[in-house]
Amino acid sequence: MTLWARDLDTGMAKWVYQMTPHDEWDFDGINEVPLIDVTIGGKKIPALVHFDRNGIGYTLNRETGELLVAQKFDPKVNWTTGVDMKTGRPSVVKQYSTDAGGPDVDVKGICPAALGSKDEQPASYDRKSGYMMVPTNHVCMTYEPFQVEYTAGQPYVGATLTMFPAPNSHGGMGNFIAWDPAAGKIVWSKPERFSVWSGALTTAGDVVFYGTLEGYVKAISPKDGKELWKFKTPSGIIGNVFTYQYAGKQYVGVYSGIGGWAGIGMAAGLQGNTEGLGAVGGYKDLAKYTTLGGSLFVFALPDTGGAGTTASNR
Amino acid sequence: MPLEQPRERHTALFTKPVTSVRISFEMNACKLLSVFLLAAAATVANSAEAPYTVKDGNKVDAKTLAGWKTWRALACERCHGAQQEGLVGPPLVVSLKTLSKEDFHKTIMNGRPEKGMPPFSASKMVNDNWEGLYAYLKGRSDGKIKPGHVYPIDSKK
Repeated sequence: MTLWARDLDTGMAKWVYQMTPHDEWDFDGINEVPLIDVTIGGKKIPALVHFDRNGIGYTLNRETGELLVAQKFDPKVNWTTGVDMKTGRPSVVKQYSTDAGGPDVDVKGICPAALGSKDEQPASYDRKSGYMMVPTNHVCMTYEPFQVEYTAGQPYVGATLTMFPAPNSHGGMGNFIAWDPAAGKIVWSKPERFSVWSGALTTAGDVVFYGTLEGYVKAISPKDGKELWKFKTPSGIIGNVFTYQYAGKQYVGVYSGIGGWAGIGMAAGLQGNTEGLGAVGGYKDLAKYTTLGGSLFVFALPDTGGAGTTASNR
Repeated sequence: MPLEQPRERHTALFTKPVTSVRISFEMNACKLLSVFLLAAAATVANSAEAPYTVKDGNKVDAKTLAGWKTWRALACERCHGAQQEGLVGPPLVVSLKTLSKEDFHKTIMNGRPEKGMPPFSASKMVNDNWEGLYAYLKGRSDGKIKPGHVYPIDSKK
């Protein structure tokens, strides 16, 4: 739940920032930390951005650790009212505190679910607009903590969870969003039926790629999220879309093969709603939209005769 | 009235190995003994018949509840199944029909390392609640306690 900056030569900590002190929801802080420069108040700042499991998008000065921005990147996030910019501490809403509820009590309607408003699927930086392109989850949960005791060789998990799409929203379990890391605001949000569990790819050609759990690889515009192209692969996409040039031709590739936390029910053949910490029940409809698989798809861009248009060409 | 029922009550009451009772019957002291057993069964409180008390299938006495919590805390379902139906471990709904309380105690404390079951003798919860766990599993095996979450007997759920 903590970001660490360390001196590369000595290993000594330079600064730390804890996103979710006394975590009560399984909001690990393991998500990626892209390093970008942001302009705030006319000043260019060497920054890092971080989309945490807890649903808050952070921008920090990467040299000093100073907290610059901390805002919800899914409006449905409800466990906190927000972050105190002086102390950096989120204020917890008691209704959604699993600690306040205590053992054996169902705490209902917590947003986001344990798998976070975003998990390990990496966001991507659009250099032209200065916005982050972020694959997100739109999932909430009921969480019942219970006492556990450690025994070697036995699982050690003290909570029973159920997951469901964010209530009173579009009914889907994900969004693909553009995020302004200087202002801490959602620029646009494109609803998805399931969590977007693939990494994003931005290009200099004004095309952004990502994959969906149903198996679509999509190309959209970074300006408004408008869909430009899509292709249905046979299995769900949890890999990262990538691009490369070979012999003068530009290619875009992606792995198709469902898995990960969201796809654990299909991938591991689990049935019970609370299995996979609630992901099995939450994503049970996935089986209607995709199938197991494991294949690599590569698409060639049409020859234009013009200059290459991807980031790798810069 | 068949002799089956009193015989079981007797076992639950005195927690003696079932076999000794069976031998008695086979020794043909049938008539006299059965009269004694029926009388004994009639005089004990109903609660002594089973090691658990259950209401509505999912509300149980405090001891049985502690037993279920121990079941959950030690993740027994990973091997024995969420409904005790058996996975890599044996189905306890079946095992508890024949496994004596003593053998149950031995098994949970020492494990069955050769079959992959670890010993739980180091667990405080198991030491404190193993009898409640036995009661819970007996209730599941008897079909009196429903699978899944159980609640305190005075719970409104």
